[in-house]
Amino acid sequence: MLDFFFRPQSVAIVGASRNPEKLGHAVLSNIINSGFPGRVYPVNPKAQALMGLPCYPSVLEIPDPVELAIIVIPYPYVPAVVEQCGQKGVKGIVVISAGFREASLEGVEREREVMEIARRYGMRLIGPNCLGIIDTTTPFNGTFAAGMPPRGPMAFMSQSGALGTAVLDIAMAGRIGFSKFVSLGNKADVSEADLLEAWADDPDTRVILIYVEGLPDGQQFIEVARRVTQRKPVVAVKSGSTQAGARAVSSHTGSLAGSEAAYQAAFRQAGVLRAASMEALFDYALAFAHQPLLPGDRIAIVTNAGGPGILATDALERAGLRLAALTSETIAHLESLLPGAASTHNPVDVLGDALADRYEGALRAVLSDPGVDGLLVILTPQAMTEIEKTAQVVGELASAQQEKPVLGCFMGEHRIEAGVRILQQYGVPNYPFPERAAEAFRAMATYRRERMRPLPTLETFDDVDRGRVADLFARVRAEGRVTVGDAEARAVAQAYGLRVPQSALARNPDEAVEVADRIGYPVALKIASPDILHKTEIGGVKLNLQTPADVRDAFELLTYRAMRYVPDARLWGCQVQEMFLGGREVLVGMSRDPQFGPLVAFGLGGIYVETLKDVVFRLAPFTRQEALEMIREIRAYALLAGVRGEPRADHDAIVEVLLRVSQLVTDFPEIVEMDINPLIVFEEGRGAVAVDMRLVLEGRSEG
Amino acid sequence: MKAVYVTSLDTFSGKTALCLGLAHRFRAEGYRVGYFKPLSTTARPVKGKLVDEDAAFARELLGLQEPLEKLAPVLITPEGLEAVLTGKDRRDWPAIVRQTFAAISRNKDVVMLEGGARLREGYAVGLGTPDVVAMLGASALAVVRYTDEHSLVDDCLVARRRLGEALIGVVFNAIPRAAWRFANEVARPFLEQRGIPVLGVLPHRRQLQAISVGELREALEGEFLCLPERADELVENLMVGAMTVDAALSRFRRQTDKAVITGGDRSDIQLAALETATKVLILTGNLHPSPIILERAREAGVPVILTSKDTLKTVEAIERFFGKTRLGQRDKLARFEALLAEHFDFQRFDALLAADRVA
Repeated sequence: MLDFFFRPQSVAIVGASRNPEKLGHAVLSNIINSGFPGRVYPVNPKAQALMGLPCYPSVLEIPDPVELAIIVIPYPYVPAVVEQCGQKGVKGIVVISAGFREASLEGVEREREVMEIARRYGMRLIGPNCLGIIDTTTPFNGTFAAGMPPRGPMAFMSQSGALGTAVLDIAMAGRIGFSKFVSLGNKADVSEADLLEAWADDPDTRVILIYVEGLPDGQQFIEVARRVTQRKPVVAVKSGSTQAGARAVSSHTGSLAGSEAAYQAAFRQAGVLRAASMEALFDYALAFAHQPLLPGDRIAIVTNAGGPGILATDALERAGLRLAALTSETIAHLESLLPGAASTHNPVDVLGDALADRYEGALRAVLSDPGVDGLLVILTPQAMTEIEKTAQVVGELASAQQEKPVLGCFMGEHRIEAGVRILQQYGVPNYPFPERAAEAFRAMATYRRERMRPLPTLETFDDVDRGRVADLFARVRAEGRVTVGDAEARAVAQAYGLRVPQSALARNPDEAVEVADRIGYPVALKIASPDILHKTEIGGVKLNLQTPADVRDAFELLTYRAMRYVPDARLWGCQVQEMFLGGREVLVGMSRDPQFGPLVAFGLGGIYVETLKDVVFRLAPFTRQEALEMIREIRAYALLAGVRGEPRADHDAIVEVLLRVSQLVTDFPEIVEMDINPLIVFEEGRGAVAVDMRLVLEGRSEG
Repeated sequence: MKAVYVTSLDTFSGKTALCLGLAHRFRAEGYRVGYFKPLSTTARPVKGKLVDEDAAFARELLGLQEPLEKLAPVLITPEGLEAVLTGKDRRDWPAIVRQTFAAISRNKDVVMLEGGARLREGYAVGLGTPDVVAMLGASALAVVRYTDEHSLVDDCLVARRRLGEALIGVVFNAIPRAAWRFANEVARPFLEQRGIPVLGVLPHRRQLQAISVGELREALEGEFLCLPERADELVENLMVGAMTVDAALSRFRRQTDKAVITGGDRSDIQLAALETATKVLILTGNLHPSPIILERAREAGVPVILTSKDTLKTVEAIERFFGKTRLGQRDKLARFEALLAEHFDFQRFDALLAADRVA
């Protein structure tokens, strides 16, 4: 897939130039200097030959077929050249030129025109406004970057071209190597999902790295990434995760950035590892690129200093890993090898005077311990430390086996430099501090869990009454409303199999008492008006009414408040509702994310939601397993599991509500917001009741 | 020739709409229809010339040949009033009205007369509503716009007291759903018993309260950055985007047919507005949005207005305007006529008109 971008038989460079100040010059010379084995056709009407190659006035005049065209000419001429490429039968186009969607209104139009032409001829297009593409295996360097990065098992795609140049520059210093590099630019056609798909089976790529600002087709990304992450790790940095950052992305890309919560859920559900910074991205990438996958979460530490060993222990535990318990055989063996003052338990301290041979013995023993899944080697440059020799030992032992990852933590800068270089030669990534090494292990452990998860199988309930909800929504919209009233929301909940409290509308205090007598005390009263959405805020709800007199008073009070605070509101009376004693309050909500679709929230309910923000998110539709994870992920989970002898809340009931809501919002894309708050959950086996539910439908103006 | 004088107890009650709605109907039945506004106290200068906007709209809509000065011959500004009261301006206003009307009504079967701002107006210049009605031999119709139950009935009784037998009927306008039963089952029979025919009970329609995108632009002295051709679109709600984008999206979703006001630099809020049912995007502080946003707005069919006012000033300017809108748009008139067709008793109106004392 997309092979013609990375391994073209022939490539035309439209806008190739002999002027070293032109990008067209840099692209042509990069292709030639990279040792590209295919045919190269410079295109420039003003030149006969360039860098020893015959030059053509247009793509159409090239005598042989052309598979890939790289366009580096001023933007006004791009559409015409793309048209010629189409006529020529070109398969892939890389538009490096800027002056499109990112630049101006005319640019938006121009980009659309270019895409129309490309689609008409069935050509795929990378860019516009990008740096180009690199494949180090072919080898092929179709960028205007200053040189070619070393080969390596990482494939990198970047929405930012400038960031790409910086990353390539780092690579050229020798610390990282790439299999493929793509600057995606405006993503008019080829997107992250396309490249993921293309790289999933690439034998030269062990880990895929992404720098992304926005994912316009979020659902597609998840769908593809879910499959790809089963085969190899995908690590992403998503910028614009703060308010100010998101705003910057909006004006940069013209798409409303999906909410941070949606991205988090999307990456999580797709098994994509999220790095918080570019530094973390490469920290993780190096571990995945050169070390075997982590087979478990038990980590051993071998160190020549106590302090760093403790730092590492803290960091590993914080990262959710376990400190491996060494077997008695290993401990006995270590005791025989190490001086008496050394620690033979994990973290294994070989002491400050350890030379390379002592490290070697300890490392061998620990690596072969069946209770160890991964190894962190810490070295501080003390007076006698044999830095390079120890590095040699670590490298050899690490590469002598392919089961357990070994990460280095040679601390310092000046003296350890040579050692770090040796580690690199053996593919052992080095982290200057234990915390960063621990985070790399965390990423590896997370990937291991994600990979073990089966592809999601979604369940649907067939006892739902879809038609009833459709009719109801049609009626709401016919009345020109977007908000769904209380009684209507109850009907929706019931149609989707959710239990709701008994309830009836009372138009006056007498009716209210009548209803309360029928339902049974205590009851709750809520003001009923299509114009009052947040009832609590105007004091429109009264709970726990025990007697007919209470009900009568509450009716008067609520009506009075409503008239005072919302004078224009239409008042229908009060809703009299069954009250529940006991049970724990949670909330289930949904907000439709502009990029990812229905984002379902679960959290502790009631009045503290806004303050505590103890809420987790998943994109619908999700699986039973994911629903269960949601429940367990909230900070206040202990309250649901039962504290101080309290019985466990009915987990199955919550899962069922989550899945039914997931189905509801998937069935009806017109629901843009909804929440059930509170959902009262009783103890195991007793179910849950959706006490209050609100819905907002999409209100599109015509046009 | 018949003259029908439409008056109201308050400004912005629906006089122009009723005049034009009835005019269209008469014309549809083959009559030659004219329009005349005897007195205007709300004329505004347009390009250096005082103009009564209702008359201008009527002229355009009915395709009348007479110049605007003939359709609304008496324009009294506050300064003009002072001149009249201090005796500096001694023109004979009733005579002017009589003469122009005579000219206007020539070759017409029906002339719709639109009252001034309200029923009690015009006495100072000798053009009190009852006097004009009597002078021109018109049949009067009063539009009563709903504010509360009490005024609905009182306003009709006041109209009868002032206009006497010249009042051939009343029309209730903008009756909210909550008062529908009262208007039809209580107020209507009560008035009918007292000899006041209730010719129509028109329900409240939010669209008719609406303000057009073009009016907003005028009120803000702003400029269209895109889609000026959508100036006739109607806005019913106003929202200010100064919150976080997640909150904005959630709030914007709860409101339709709205204008969203935000800074030109808040691209996130602008996109959130375009994502929901928005009729116009108003950007404040003279900050131009990014081209991509304008493109998105164009795709979504949402006009964008740029104003140099800050957000607070913008809101103030619009709020002064809201709820006090002139008819001013074909779109609104069409909606109003649809209401008339459903809720106005034309047959009875015709009969009452035919039976009225003046031929």
